[in-house]
Amino acid sequence: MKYVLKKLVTMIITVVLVTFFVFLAFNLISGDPATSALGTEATPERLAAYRTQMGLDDPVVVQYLRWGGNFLTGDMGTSYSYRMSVSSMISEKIPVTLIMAVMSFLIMIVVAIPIGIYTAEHKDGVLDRIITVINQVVMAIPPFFSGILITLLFGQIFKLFTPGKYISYQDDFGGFLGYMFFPALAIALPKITMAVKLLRTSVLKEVKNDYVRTAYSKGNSSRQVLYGHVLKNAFLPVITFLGMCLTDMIAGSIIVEQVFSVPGLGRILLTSISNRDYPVVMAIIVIIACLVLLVNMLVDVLYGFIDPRITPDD
Amino acid sequence: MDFVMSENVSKDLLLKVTDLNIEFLDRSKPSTVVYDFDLELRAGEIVGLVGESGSGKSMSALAIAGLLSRKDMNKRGEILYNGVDMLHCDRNTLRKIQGNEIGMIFQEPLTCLNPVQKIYKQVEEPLRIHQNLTKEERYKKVLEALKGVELADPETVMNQYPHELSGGMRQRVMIATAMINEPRILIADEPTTALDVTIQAQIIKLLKKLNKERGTAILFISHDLGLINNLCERVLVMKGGYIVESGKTEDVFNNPQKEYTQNLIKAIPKINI
Repeated sequence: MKYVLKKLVTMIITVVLVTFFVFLAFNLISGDPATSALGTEATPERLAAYRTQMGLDDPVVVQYLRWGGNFLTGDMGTSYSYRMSVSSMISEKIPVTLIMAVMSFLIMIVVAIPIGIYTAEHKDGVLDRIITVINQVVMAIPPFFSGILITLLFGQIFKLFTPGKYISYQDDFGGFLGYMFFPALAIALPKITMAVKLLRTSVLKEVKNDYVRTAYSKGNSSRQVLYGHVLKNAFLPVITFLGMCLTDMIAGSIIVEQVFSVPGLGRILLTSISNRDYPVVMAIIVIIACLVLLVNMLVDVLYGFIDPRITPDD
Repeated sequence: MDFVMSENVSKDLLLKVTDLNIEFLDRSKPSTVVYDFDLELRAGEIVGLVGESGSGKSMSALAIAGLLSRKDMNKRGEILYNGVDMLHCDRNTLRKIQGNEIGMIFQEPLTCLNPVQKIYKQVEEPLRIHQNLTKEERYKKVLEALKGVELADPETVMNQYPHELSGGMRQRVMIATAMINEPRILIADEPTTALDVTIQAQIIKLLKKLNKERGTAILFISHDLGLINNLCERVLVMKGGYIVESGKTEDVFNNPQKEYTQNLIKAIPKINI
């Protein structure tokens, strides 16, 4: 419990630091908000009045705290390009990106873990060799390209979904999930190959340990040794990797969203960056950063539960 | 009279190893690590197996415990336990003996315990594999076993993880695990090498006690002839894969036939104050 609390506090401090630096960076690059709001023809007096009114003369920390407070209550500022509140623009996109990330994560786990265990159990068997070759090939395909291939294969040839015809989750949740399966698969594919390889290597490394010999000396069968002793140990390095994958899936699905015309956070982030729509960009970056930190914390906590050597009593 | 005596002898014979040869095939040239190994282990006796590193003593011990399952090795000979040739029988037959009739403890008590499993589960495991007991009965047996190896606070220890215990405690846990099904044979592969001298003496004392109280036969492997002298009635000296000398420990000690054995005896440090 103390460990969880400690991780939570660490996470909150990191969130504050990250958001502060994001805020600072956008303050520096976005130029003078007063000039951009009132135009270059505005008199110095009007600019000064606007600055005082908007609190732009206050120290950065005060401005940050005000912005952070507003952010927490859901007020993320106003978009420059669309003149609407940022929160209303992105609140509908967050579930899209999150569901896609979670789906690809689940696909990865469901596919990678059994294959990883199987290939380790049947090392150098026929299927292991075949899977290893396929793994190497798939690993080399970037998600946007596997996205195109999936569109071609499942969309055009097998007609399992209509490419580009995104189904909104508000209209038809089942149809939405069906459509999202394919981009999720595209994101998951390269991760699956890495997870399989990592799990296989990890299991094969674990079975060389002395405790495995002890387990055999007790009369365990190979399966009992694998499932009762080896796997829990072999999962430790894999969990770190899975956590990294999940954060990557949340933060890095921009290109796949483009390929499949999914209106998620990545897509709006791209348009906002090209429109120099800083409030939107800033809000998305902060949200993604917080999600990533949250996942990292969860991984740490999970790790502490699985590996007794980690939980610090001091 | 003669007949009765010989029957008694064969009754007491627990384990008979004949012509054990172990050969590795994983290099370009096959290399033999154990040649023509013979051993007879009788109920209740402690036999020492001594030799330098690489003499083949651990390989022989692992073979006897049924733990040599690598495909890249050639095993010849016979390891007869209770009518079963443990060297060539299938895994399922072997498993019924392992942890039940034959227990084994190893050199490194830390790495030999599963780092992410509580002590209780690890000590209990042979019970779950070989016996049909209720949870309460198993708990009682684990507690007894931990008490039996003279652990000071068994209730606490069973809820701890291996990294929370000292080296000596870990080896005691290993012994408790190996002994929980009251095996007839305990194979101890350098169980004290990784421990301090004082802890070493305690573990030897414990092994002696278990041998005396429960009549468990012990095959004690060590490179330390001093320890063997202290513990074993009989001794086998190995070098380069061969048994070079064997006999009663006293005789081997007082009247070593081979130069190698003489050198081993000379290597025992003598403390002169």
